[in-house]
Amino acid sequence: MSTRLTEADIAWLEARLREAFAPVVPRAEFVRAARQQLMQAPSPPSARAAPPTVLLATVLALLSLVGVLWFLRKLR
Amino acid sequence: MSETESDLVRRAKTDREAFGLLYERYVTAIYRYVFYRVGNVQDAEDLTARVFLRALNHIHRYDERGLPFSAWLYRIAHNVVVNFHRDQRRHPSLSLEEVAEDVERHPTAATTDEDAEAVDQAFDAARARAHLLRAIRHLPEERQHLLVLKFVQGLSNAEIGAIMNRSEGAVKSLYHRTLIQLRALMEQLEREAGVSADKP
Repeated sequence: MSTRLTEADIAWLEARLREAFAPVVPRAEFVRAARQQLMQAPSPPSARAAPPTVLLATVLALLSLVGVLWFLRKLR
Repeated sequence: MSETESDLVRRAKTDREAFGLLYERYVTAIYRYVFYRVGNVQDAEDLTARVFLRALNHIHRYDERGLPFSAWLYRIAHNVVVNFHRDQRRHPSLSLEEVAEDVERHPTAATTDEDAEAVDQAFDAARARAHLLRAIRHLPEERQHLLVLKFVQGLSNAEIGAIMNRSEGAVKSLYHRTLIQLRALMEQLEREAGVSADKP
């Protein structure tokens, strides 16, 4: 097997690829049904809903850390 | 004044109708991409719908800086196809029958049956196309991804690089290696099937 391609080889392969990958179009019924499905899909988790949750988790984690440190200090 | 794509994408993060407009803009392109990665209409429709549902669920995380929206969609489509093949636990290959059905469904060559010669030519063209598509199915996922983006979507090496997260030069080099491997696969399959292609 040759590992080199000439310009003619490339042109031949590209012509075959262009023929093989002929344009296809989706069925109109599918396009309509999938659009309807998207319009009716439940709302994704909002980007704005995340920060308060993250903030609350961070505050709780910090409070726990402070609590543990205070407890360890009392033990000494 | 018409809305720019950036404005539409920004609006689509909170407005479902705006997302619907993006869907209409890209559904054919994504369908084409998926169709040539899976080889049949039923799976192509199922996976195309899945791509847009995933895009809808993650659009709030999309950051347009550096990556066009279409490139982001193709990345999702690629991941959906790779997961599909993994779930199938085998690499699906197109049978001649499936491709022949597909050629009928999406006619590209003149398939008039007015005379026997035209029918023979159409059959030979369908067979050659099936043969090449089968060889493409034997390529690694990444190389199939590249060929479909280049020949089905008509993207440049730079655009493909943005989708594949590679430099333009790396895409060019990968493309060259892909053509070499494809030719070797075609020769191997021709030997196995006793088919001869009209090579230069």
